Amino acid sequence: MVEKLTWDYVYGCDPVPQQTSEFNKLHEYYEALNEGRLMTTKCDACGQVLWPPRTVCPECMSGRLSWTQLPDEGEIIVFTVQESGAFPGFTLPLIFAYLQFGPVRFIGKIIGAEPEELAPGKKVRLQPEKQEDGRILPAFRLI
Amino acid sequence: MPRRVAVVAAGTSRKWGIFPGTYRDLISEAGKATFDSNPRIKPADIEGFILASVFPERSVFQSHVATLAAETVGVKPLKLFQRVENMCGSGTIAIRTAYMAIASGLADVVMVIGAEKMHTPQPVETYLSMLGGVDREYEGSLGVTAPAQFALAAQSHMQKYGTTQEQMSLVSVKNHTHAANNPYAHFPKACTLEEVLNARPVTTPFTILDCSPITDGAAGMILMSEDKAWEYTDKPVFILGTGQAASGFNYANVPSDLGDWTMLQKAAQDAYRMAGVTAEDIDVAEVHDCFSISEIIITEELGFAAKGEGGSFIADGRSDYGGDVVINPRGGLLGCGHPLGATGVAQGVELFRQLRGEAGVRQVEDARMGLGHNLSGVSEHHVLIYGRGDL
Ligand SMILES: [Zn+2]
Repeated sequence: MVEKLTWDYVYGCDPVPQQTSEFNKLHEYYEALNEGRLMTTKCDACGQVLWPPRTVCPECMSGRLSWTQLPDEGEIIVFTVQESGAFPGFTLPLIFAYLQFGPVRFIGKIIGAEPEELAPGKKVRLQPEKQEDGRILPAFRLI
Repeated sequence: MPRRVAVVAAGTSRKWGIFPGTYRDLISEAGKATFDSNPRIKPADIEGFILASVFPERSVFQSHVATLAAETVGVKPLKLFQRVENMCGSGTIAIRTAYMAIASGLADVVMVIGAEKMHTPQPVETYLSMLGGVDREYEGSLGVTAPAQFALAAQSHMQKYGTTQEQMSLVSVKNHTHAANNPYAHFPKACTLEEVLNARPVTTPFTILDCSPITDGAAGMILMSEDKAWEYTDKPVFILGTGQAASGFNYANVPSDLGDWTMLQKAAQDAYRMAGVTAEDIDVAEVHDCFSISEIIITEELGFAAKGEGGSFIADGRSDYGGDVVINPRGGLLGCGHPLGATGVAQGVELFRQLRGEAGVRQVEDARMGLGHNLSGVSEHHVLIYGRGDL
């Protein structure tokens, strides 16, 4: 029997990560997003809260990590409003902010806000975005 | 003691932009230009071959590209061959790797080619490929690419140091003006401050003229041990120092003030120390102006301007002809385009020409020492210092 490749889905052209236990040891991160919680890993040995989540602590090489919930509120450090240059499927404008969530910082996508409402210091909270195929990605809205 | 290493030949593909040919054709053109720059060197003289190329797997569906490229330019590398991929800084890293091979005695003659075919029949594919140039799982999947990352750095620099959009735009004005004197530049046309400010917005605070374009291009260089170099040219250009430093990949793990590029400071200090020089000794620099803000921050971290004063440094003309140091005489990434793997090599080609007095209308008067800087992200930097052979 000849195997068939499904050309309308090729993982090498899919920006969204695999999120199930079959392909991702950190699938609980996505499961928590589905429940509206922003989780990351904390090292049981040295106590470091890590972003992105890990399976091994890069600070002390311990393999013992636990899931920990980040605070409900984060803060915008700086932001940018992108009006062109996105891959099809991303709706413009895209707003990206450098966010502080408790002990970690990362780039987050801001949704449901007008650019003029944004400013450094403004507070945001998680509002995950479901993808068409059921996978989920983090996004944030102003409080 | 490491052996001294010199550049003895250098060239670029003829016209950067949308290249009307295949990846192989592009590599052929850069290879020919490199050999043509020094007819004493033949492909059979080359012992080592290094190719800098970032995503040929995606853009031309080809991996295993180092030997493909070596074969294309007629080189049978009997001592070493490899590809270098570290995103936008790959070209400089390839030169640095050739330097290491020669300095250590592993080979006497090494050719470096940087090549990137970024344009595909369906142009938006390139945006998808660029998602893979950041942390695809946690950043790229959200739609983040380089423009947004560097825009955040610009916002941070503006907030902390009061840098203005006008000052950033002046970088673009200067580099496009320089590019007008460079026949291979993707955009060899000067532009005004108003044109930059009023161009199509990309991501605040950048307009399209604050961003380096998507470009096909290639460049090549041949390096030799000092003994060999004098056999093949009367005007070798020596690599005097080099430094490289990285502190993180995801934006979670880079210095929190996104406009402070401490890893560049570290890489530059190592390069200056190795060369026994300071920023004041540099006459000409080719630096990584992937976005206009980048050049402002780079001039600070390289020590040309005080920290936080990169904006006034460009506004006061101190990085142009007649200033403290001429920055990006070939037109930078903004004017030439940024074919990822080719950029660092092309920067080296320009410095080779400048230090030999062969840069024509772009010539920086009495250029004796040059600096090349490439980056792969706000916290990953690669620096090379080149000096004239008669110093
Ligand atoms: Zn640990």
